[in-house]
Amino acid sequence: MDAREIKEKIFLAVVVILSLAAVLPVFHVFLSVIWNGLGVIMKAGPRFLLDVPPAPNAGLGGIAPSLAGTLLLAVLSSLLGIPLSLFAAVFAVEFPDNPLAKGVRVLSKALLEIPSVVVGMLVYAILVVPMGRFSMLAGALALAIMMIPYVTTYVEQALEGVPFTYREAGFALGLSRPKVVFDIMVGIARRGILTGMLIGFAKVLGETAPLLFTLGRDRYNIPLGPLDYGDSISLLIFDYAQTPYANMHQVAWGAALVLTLMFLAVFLISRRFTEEVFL
Amino acid sequence: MIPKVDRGFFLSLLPFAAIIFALFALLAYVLAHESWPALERFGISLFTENVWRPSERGVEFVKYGLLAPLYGTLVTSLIAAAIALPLSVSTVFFMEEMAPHRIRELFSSVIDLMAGLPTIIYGLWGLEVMIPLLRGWVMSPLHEHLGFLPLFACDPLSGASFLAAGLLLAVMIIPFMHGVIKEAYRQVPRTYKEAALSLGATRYEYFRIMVSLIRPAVIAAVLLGLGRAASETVAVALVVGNAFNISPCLFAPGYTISSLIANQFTEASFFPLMENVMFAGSLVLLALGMLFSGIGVVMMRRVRELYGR
Repeated sequence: MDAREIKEKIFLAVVVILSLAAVLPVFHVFLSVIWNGLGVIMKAGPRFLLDVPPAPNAGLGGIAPSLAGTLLLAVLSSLLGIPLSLFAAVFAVEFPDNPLAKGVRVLSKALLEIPSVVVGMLVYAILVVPMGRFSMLAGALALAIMMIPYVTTYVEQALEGVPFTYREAGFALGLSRPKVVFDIMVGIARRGILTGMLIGFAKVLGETAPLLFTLGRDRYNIPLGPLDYGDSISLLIFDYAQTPYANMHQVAWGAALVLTLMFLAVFLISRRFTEEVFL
Repeated sequence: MIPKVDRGFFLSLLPFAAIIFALFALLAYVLAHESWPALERFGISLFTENVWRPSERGVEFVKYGLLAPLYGTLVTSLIAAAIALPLSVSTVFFMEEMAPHRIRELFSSVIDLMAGLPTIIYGLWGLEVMIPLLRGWVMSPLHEHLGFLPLFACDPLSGASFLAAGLLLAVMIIPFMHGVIKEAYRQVPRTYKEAALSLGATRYEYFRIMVSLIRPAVIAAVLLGLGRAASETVAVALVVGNAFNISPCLFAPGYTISSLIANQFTEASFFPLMENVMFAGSLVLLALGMLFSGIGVVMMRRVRELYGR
């Protein structure tokens, strides 16, 4: 074996080792969450999903208000964010030469570059301060802003992937432009659009930073209206991980398992959509 | 010009577009308006001094300087990008050139999962699992044996440190850097690859040729990764140690702009000017992010132009 071949062998070994090193941490993360979280949830039982959190050094309790908060926030922010993203994307795709539409296309992607904590500060300044209170609505607005870039990207791609002939066919039948877009194009591109919505949903399920200054962190009451204070699983983990109490750290691990499972569920569903052939 | 028949459609979609524009206008207004009092009061010293002296007594007693969080943001992001770059280049080469189909699919799913996993999960893992391991296996031995180097000079007390934050950030930005490099790698025309191989290049030489062909994308990946790392908030806040500290020692606790905001913004309204200082900090964060991603996008465009797709 000459020097070049030896070099090649070493190089290939290094690449494999580095590639494994790149993905091993995430396996370790999953195993840690399952290991620690499962122990906590086994001990706390199903009450973990139904109870309020414990006092310091007083058992495990549950995470019901935070769980409800996370689910409600995901729904509420989707209600705000998905229609906005959908129509903005249609606008960008339908009028590709219009400067306003070009601007929308660029800006909806540029939202990705705004740090999530800054989104939280923005909503704090424009909604929390004027209203004088934290609220589910403020949290949902912050999350809706977070999901716009993901949803618009997927919807734009999906709509642009529809062959032009379908559009022509629609026009040939005498359909109006909105009908062509919403009845034909959206129908054909539904898989991509749905994926985008799911990705956006998965994204906001786990977000923490946009909620820090918007939600109010009431983890003892389930929020009943959009103006109530609320909490999310992610915030609960963030706060409890920083407490000095062992039982709260355990609750954080249990909550982490719940959040991870929720994320995995949405992730796997969205995977099913993308794996199948487009159209 | 929009044709007349489409005008109604255009106008009915316009409000949604307007909301997106309005968001940016509001962001610009809020950041400028809120950070101005701090910039006016402290001037450039807000970014060149390390002081954190809040006071409830009155505006004349307070003094702030964000140098320590700026330093921490820079150091942790650089550590992260330095670690993540070789790893993400490797994953791209491994997946594109070496791995059998099955393993490639698996890898790609895992990397997608890494990208989407809630950051707070990384944070909790970093705090409770990674830091103890890192402290026991890396920090303490390095400090004992190489403590004469300024990098390792300080005793790793809790383990929460620049290094811990940098390492955790590296894990978190790998999928993004991987994505950028992969996109460019796939754009290199097949013929170039075949040319290199037909000349008898070993896979190592082939790799070097490929990397040189996508160099702008590698730079873009580093810049985008730096931007990502700088804006990451909660995971860093859990592992960076949260201390106003400027130290060359990697094992010392520090602060980053975003972790500072995460930790102190909720109480900031009790202290004069503190909120304004944090808005000024977020302005810097945003400016840095825009700059990095701007250059990154230009670099990626260069790759696309090079290979005409």
